[in-house]
Amino acid sequence: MKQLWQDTRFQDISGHALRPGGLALTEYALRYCQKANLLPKQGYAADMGTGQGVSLALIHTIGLTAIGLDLSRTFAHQSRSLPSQGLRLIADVCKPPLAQGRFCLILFECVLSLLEDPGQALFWAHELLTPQGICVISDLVGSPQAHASCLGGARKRCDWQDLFQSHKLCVLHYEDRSKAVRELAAKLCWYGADLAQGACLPAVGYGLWICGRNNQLQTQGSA
Amino acid sequence: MTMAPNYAPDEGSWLCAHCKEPLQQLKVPVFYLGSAFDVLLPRCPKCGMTFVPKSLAEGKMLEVETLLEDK
Repeated sequence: MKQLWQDTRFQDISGHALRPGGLALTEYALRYCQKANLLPKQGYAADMGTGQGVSLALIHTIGLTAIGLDLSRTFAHQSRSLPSQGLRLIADVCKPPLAQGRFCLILFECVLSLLEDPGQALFWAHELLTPQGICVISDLVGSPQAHASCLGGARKRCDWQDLFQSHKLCVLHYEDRSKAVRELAAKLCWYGADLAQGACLPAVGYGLWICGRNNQLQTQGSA
Repeated sequence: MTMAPNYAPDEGSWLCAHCKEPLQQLKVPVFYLGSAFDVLLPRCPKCGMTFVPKSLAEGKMLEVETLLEDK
């Protein structure tokens, strides 16, 4: 079965960001990290599961050198027609061909729920981050839905956080962004994309986490 | 977004009661709970008054409103 993010109607409706919240949520997360002095003025950032790479230009605007990883050759081809500033690699986020300890920022935006072993991707995220590096994660929250897509990879908030912490990623900030899922489901409905998997979207929530490597102080908030 | 759905009147030809102009199918942004949706609806080309067909109000629009509301 075709996955939700592979459907061209879904791609158009989600503004090519292919996830709830779109680029606006990415921008919010980056600005939050900047305001909290969690990011340096220069450095490397990796966008794991970059899709068509629309986040790379955004990362570039905050002064970081962006590298996007995605296994999809189709997305690599499509991304040529979209504005992007950054290097794009066809690579597995569970075996990233990147230098360890060099990245001040790693993004997983609705990506971990798609992976068979999200722990492996988080292990590598920890390895790639600088000691003060930050991981921005957003993903589906709730009980897994009966679909072989990201909806099947949804987890409860506490289960996600246990997974992050077991890979030495400390939750610095959390926000409930479930409204973004409802908005995406509404847009899919409105624009006539009667995608079976989209119909299950309102059954799950969406969370945004800012995680630090190792032993940064744990503070949590909510929107 | 270029994929705006087109909703014509359920029946008949309609005139704007104020301007007496025939309504035209025009692109209209619809907002609900902070979300914006594009749609082609019968609209007066002169004053901009927009007609929402009953089938749309009780159908797709209600469905989308329910999805957006925090249950």
